Amino acid sequence: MEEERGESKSKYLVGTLVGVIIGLALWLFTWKMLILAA
Amino acid sequence: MGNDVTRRSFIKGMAVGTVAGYFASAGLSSTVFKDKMLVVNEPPKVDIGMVKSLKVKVISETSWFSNKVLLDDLKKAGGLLVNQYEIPWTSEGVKEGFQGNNAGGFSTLIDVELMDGSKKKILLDTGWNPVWMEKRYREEGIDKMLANNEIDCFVSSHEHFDHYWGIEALTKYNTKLPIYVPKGFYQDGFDLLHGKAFPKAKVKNDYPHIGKLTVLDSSKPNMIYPGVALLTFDVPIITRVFGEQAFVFNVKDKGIVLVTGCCHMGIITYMEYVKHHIAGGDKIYGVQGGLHISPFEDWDPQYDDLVLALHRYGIEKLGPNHCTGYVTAEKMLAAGLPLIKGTAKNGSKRDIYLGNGDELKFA
Repeated sequence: MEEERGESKSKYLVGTLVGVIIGLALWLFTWKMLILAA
Repeated sequence: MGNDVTRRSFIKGMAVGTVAGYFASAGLSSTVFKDKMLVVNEPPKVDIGMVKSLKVKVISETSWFSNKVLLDDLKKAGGLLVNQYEIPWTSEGVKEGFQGNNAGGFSTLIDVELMDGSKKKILLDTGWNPVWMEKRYREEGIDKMLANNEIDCFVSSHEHFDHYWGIEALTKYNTKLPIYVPKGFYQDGFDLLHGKAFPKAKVKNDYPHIGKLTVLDSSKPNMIYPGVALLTFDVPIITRVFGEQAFVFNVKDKGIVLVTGCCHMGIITYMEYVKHHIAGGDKIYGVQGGLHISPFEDWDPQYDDLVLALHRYGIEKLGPNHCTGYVTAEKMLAAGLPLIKGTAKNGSKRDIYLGNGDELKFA
């Protein structure tokens, strides 16, 4: 049970890290589009 | 069961991370990394060269003699957007006028010494009423200078009646003088230059111009001589006029000096253009001419900001007149700007700024 909770937490953190990278990529794409539109 | 929980945790984390990453990136790129993300591509500044000295003489800054009569003419004609050649301007019976005519005119003589020691004379604008302009030309010796080919060129700042319609007073003495006009001149303006009369507006030219005529556009600073450039602005102006040009000089040991006719493009627009496009434009040493702030002596609170904004440019010699308005001059003095006083002679009403016959040297 304890082991399962630990594994879940680490997966959550990995997911967050991947999400941050996706978020950064999404923002850069938005930024580029804004610059092109301006 | 275990795999489902960890997959759900991963997806939850990714969702939170994506939102946080997106907004954190947005925040950082507009604050900490602003300079790297928001790169301003300034165009290269144009080096216009340099002149040794510059002297400006006001021939006439009294464009008309009664604001009320001029405003009534505009109202009766249908407002500010009516074609100036279709307005029956009052030319008789004006108590304050010159021989009863409300029309005067704006004209400035520019004396410039180039770095090779040669001297050039440029006439900026030629007023409205040819009779008034000829009187002023005679009083200042401009008639002889024109007849003796001592004036090198004529620059029309814009096509407005009070700056251009006195063309006959110029062509009477010299029909071949090279002329520079801004892009936007209407065919009526060219027709007047070439001898057409406009009876309704009471304007004519009995001495058609036969010299070189150059139309300058706004794509770049137009070099007239080394150290002397004309900037053309695509600006719509009242009474169906389009386009205005003004001078930029780079005076040795002093810096950039701006000389304007009427400045319909706005003094801030003009100075910002110079700041961003002309080498040395970060510091404007002097400004002379009409600044078009309160030509009818009206005032709006936004003009207070405009006057205060002039402090930003580090001007050391400020010689406005004509359409700047006396009320603006008073505000400029109150704001501590370096306003040059005049002598209130030859028809100029007050000495608060440069008037007819007054000179300003930048050297």
